[in-house]
Amino acid sequence: MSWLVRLYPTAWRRRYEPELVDMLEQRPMTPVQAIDLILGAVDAHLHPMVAGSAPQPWTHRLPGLLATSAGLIWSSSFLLAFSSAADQEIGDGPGIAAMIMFLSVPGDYVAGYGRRIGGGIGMVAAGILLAWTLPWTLSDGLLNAAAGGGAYLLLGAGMLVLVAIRAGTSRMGRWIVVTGAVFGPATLAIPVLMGLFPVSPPAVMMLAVVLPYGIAWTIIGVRMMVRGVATLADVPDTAVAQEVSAA
Amino acid sequence: MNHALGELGRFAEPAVYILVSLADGPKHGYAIMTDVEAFSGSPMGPGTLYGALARLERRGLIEALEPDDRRRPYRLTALGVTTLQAQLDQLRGFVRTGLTRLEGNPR
Repeated sequence: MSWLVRLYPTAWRRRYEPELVDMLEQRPMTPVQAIDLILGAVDAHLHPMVAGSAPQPWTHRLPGLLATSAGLIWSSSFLLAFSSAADQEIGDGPGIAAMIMFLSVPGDYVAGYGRRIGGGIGMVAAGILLAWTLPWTLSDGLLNAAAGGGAYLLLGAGMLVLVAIRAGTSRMGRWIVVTGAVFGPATLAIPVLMGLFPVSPPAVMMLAVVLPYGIAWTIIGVRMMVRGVATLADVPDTAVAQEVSAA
Repeated sequence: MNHALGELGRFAEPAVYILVSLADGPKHGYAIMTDVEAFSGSPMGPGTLYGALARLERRGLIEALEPDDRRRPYRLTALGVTTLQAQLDQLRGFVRTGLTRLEGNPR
């Protein structure tokens, strides 16, 4: 479990990682020690002890806080709605969560990765287009479901990839997150939607598809909060910020 | 707890253990952990150990030596020796007072 050392700040890792990893390799870590290491990483972020790891402004925790809140609101909305068999009204929770998800995405990423963010926005726009047009032009319920599902895949996967990049997740990690939280559950849902495997109650199916998404956002949000993510306002030396200030 | 160690908060006690462990010579992280476990009877987690090490190093109570492969030994500085001595003297007075009172209490 020496990979937990990656939770520490970069400057801290430069100074202590080799000897700490060496120590962890001497004997297997117990669950209690793993928790101790995680708490140590949180402490190292909150109280930097190493030169070059200056305390981060509180604004760096905001994107992570937003992403975590969005994940929790998303998950709890569906859980609350489907916890009672009588009233399965989902309410505005997922919509609010989606808005907060959008808010947690922009920032320094927009400044540093213009083309990629453009691609992400394109995916989101395509998803919105699908969600708002296809269901009105198609009468068949299955196709409507496919259109809604496609929009969900584009919107959901697009935003999740963007936020995972901001959280510093590796390319492989991003594929795992998106596959596990969006593509995987959605693929599993297809035969059920086609009526091949009737699932009862339908709430179970719904939760199996949407809950991993909320959980992924929550985990990535916590990661962003712990690491700290610069926002556009905090990086005045980037090209975009200079353009903004020049304007 | 003297002032230099008292301001370490929850890392104050682990810091004293580390200083005691280094009192008989330089040790690297794993050696400190096993030594502390041996003389205190309770294990010290890796996060606590390195949180305390970083604080002690920042305050100049210990210093890192040249690493041997990945292992980097630490040793007490002169300030660390003085601080540990003061802390142990304080504890000795505390223990003496407690034992005297226990022995004088007829119950």
